[in-house]
Amino acid sequence: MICPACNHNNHPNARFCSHCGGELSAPVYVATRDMGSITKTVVFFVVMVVFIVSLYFIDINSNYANIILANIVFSLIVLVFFAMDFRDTLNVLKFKDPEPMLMTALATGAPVFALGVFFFVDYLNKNIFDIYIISEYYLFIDSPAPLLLALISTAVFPAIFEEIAFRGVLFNMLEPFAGKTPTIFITAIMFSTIHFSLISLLWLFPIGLLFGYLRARHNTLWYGIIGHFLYNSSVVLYGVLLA
Amino acid sequence: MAMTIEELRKERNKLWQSIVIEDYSICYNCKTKGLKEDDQFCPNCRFPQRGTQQEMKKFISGIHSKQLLLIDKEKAIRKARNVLYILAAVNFGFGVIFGFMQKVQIPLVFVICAIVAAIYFGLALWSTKKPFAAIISGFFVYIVFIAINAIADPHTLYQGLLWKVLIISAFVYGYIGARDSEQLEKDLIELHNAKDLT
Repeated sequence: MICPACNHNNHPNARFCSHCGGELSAPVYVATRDMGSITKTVVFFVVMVVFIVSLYFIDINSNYANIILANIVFSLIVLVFFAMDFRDTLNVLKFKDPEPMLMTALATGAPVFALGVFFFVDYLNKNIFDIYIISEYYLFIDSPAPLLLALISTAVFPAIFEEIAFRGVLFNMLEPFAGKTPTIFITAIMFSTIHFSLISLLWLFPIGLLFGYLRARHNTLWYGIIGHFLYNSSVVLYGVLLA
Repeated sequence: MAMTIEELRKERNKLWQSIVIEDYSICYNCKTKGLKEDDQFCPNCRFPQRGTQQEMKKFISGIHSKQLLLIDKEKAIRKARNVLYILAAVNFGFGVIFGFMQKVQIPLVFVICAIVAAIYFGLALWSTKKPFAAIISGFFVYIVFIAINAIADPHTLYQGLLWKVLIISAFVYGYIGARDSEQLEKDLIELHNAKDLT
């Protein structure tokens, strides 16, 4: 191995030039991002938490326009952080060679899983919490197109922007420090806890793990977006059809 | 790879004596074999094998500084891990005391507190393997639980503010320490990873 600094001929396995001490190979571990990435991750998460807390104080469900406005504001927050990590996140928004088997598995698995969760939640609400929760559809009942708006608000927006936020921006920011597998876990924890429901951790955490795994394995957000959309829209539809 | 303070002190005391290299074909620092006669530096760890006493001691001293930094960072990780254990114990204790005080068929308070305790406990255990991931996750979980409590009762936001600041500081120092220690440990392993270049 020839040293680029002094042209000394070194041993093939040398890491440093034995003549001038210069570095010959790239370091084993290179932190590609600085501490700023972790700070951005924390700020992004705290901003999302503060935003969601604020929704509880303005009684968002009183008017369907409020729900749509909240979705738009959430999307804008995500887009601001997306802009800070534009190139890397854009990279995972590409969708090359979709796998038909995986798409079929998502198309069947998501509605089936949603059905299981729907009945489980229904059982818990009726028998343990003694509450009755109406479907998101009924929050839009006064609107010109209740089902369409319920689907856009509950399935389309969250599927796109939550995936960009958790499996896109946050995943990209954390991966250089934590490594691939721990990042799947961290983003799943963030994704499941930010829904502010302890009991829903039971299904949101595994969903987060699955979407994180798909993003890490296939380097695209689209399997997560499709799975997320199918799961959320199934829950809305079951709420209309089965409740 | 991290030494104890005592071990490090002993190593540092050795620097008062001259560094004596008996076999120039073996690196004094990383014990890599097969160094040539004209090798000024070890090709594996960059130790100045043919340098002056001052150059050699400066190199060893640099490794000791990294060791010392690693000890500091590991302290921060331990503190954050202890915070996770304490949060687990407090939540579990709270659940047992208040959960069973309610005369209900299903002690919901206990179940909720037990789940929260299990999350913190699991993260504390995970922090022994993946400190950065576990501590930063613990921090996020803690922030969310503060927020959930604030929704139920906004006064809880400033109740126990000092404790909250201390816990958050421990998490922040913990994940910064974990991030740095993972890098330092890798560096130190590389600096002592002997190779055979013969």
